[in-house]
Order: sequence, then structure tokens, then C-alpha cells
Amino acid sequence: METRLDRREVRRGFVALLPLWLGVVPFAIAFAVLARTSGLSTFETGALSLFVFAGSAQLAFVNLAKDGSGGAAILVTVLLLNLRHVLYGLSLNAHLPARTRPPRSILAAGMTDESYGLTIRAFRSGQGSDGFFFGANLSLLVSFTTATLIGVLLGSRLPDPGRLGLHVVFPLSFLALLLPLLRTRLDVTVAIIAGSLALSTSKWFSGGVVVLVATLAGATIGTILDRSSEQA
Amino acid sequence: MDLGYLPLIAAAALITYGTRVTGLSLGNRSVPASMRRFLAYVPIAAFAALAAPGIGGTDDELIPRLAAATVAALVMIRVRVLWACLAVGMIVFWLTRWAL
Repeated sequence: METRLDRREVRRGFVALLPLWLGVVPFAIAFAVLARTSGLSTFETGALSLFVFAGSAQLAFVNLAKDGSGGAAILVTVLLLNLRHVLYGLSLNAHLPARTRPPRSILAAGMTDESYGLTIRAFRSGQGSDGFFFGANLSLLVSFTTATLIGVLLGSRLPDPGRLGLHVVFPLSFLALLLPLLRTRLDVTVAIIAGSLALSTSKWFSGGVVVLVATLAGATIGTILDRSSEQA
Repeated sequence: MDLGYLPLIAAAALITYGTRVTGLSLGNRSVPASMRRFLAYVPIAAFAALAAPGIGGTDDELIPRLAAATVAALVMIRVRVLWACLAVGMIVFWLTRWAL
């Protein structure tokens, strides 16, 4: 039996993510403005949103590139920031059919925190599907890339984005991404350790090294403390 | 010809796609518990490391940045809406900078 892409499911997923456009659009606009401020071209900014399509990794990319970090440090940071997708994939696999429509290679391209979150919630309440996931992915891709384009167009009209203090959007964005993740005392401990380490080393080392070391140190300490608290 | 950041963007896109397609292609195989814990802490540690130097890293405009971060954090905890958090944070930043 040939299974087809269920358009109704795609529409359901697309609509389910619509409320998040409120968050996605200003984020992508701010990203575009900051990418341009940091010296990336219009085309490079658009290519990041369309092909990398991972907000936090893109912010890190631009932030580190602006600081003059090396390519290796940028790519390792992108890898570390995106490794969670492996787990999203594993967790979705428990619900997805063996043969999906569209195929997994296409579903994977649009995977994000938001579309994963909505889809796994739909699956848990018995209303998820591969089409729903595809629709949610599409909804985010459309809003994110369109808003990036708007940000690029508006940004070029701003006289001097740097003087507006838009660089502050970077740390505020990461703070906003961080806070919902802090559920346990250990989460807070890891954030404080990594944040303090980054803060104290940022005066001497470039951004890439700081983020890399603080991330590895914070996550390693978190893993060790997590295990010892379980055994206690 | 200067390709600028394009080769690096292509590599970042490939790496990101790799992380997305790997778990989705592994079927129902399980990940070791310690690795799962480590990965769960990666975004927490990375976001903290990316946020902290931008908020308290330099003395230049330190008070506006601390004020913006504090209010933005309160907005994020209460409403969990990114645009509101960023908008309020930036308004506080501008007001504090203007007032000082």
C-alpha cells in the first residue's frame, strides 16, 4: 500500500506552530540585523537562516565570527549547540512509522526545538503524525526565513544599529533561551558554573574558546553531579 | 574570489543537518544514560556561557545591561514569551542608558 503525504496533517502541524511566530519573527529580524551589524553580507545572513536554520547556533556563529574566532571553534560550538537534535530524533523515532511521508531525510532538515516540542506533545496525546511534524517544521521555516529577509531589508535602512545598543539582544536572547531549561537545582548550578567560567575567562580568551570550554566543563560537571546525586 | 563566510556556513549547515538526521535514522536504539545526561546539560551550559560575557563582561554600559538582563529574566520567567522578554529588556536598556 502506498502511503501519501497527508495534507490535512501538514496543515494541522503548520497551524499548531502559528502562535510561536510571535516569538520567531522578532528573533529572526533581530538575528538578521545583528548578522549584518557583525559584518555578514545579505546573502550570508539569508543562507544561515535557510540552510543552518537553527537560531541559537546562528547567533553563536555570528557572535563568534564577529569576535574573530577560528572556523574550528565556530563549527565545534555549532555541533555542541545542535547535538540535542540527536536526542529529539531518537525520541520522535519511538512514535514515527517505519516509512514516513515525507522521508526521514526531509523531515530531519526542518527539525527544531519548537517543532519537536509541538510534535512530541501531539504524539503523547495521540494526535501526532509524520505529516504534522512536517507541517510544524514548514511553519517555522517559512516564518523564520521570511523574517530574516525583512530584518535584512529593514536593517540596511537603520543609520547605525550598533549605537542603538542592539548588541545587547545577543545575551538577552541566550538568557531567554536558557531560563525555560532551568528546571532543577542542578540545572541552575550548571548554568552558574558555565556562566561564571565564561565571564571570568572572556577577558583573556576569544569567544569561541570561552564558550567551548565553559560548555564542556559545565555539561561534564552536571553529568558527574547528576550521577552522584542519584547514587546518594 | 573571496567567498567570505560561505564555506563556513555550508559546513555549519552540514553539521547541523547531521545532528538532525542521526537520531531520526537510528531507529529505537537507546543512548547510554550518562551520554543522555551530558547532552541535556549542553544547551544549558552553552547558553549561560554565551549570555554571561555579553551581560557582565565589560564595564562599558554595565548597569544598563544588568538592568536589562534582570528585567528580561523576570519577564521570561513570568510570561515565557521571547519577543516580550527582548522588547522589555531593550526598553529597560535604553531607558537606563538614557537616565544615567
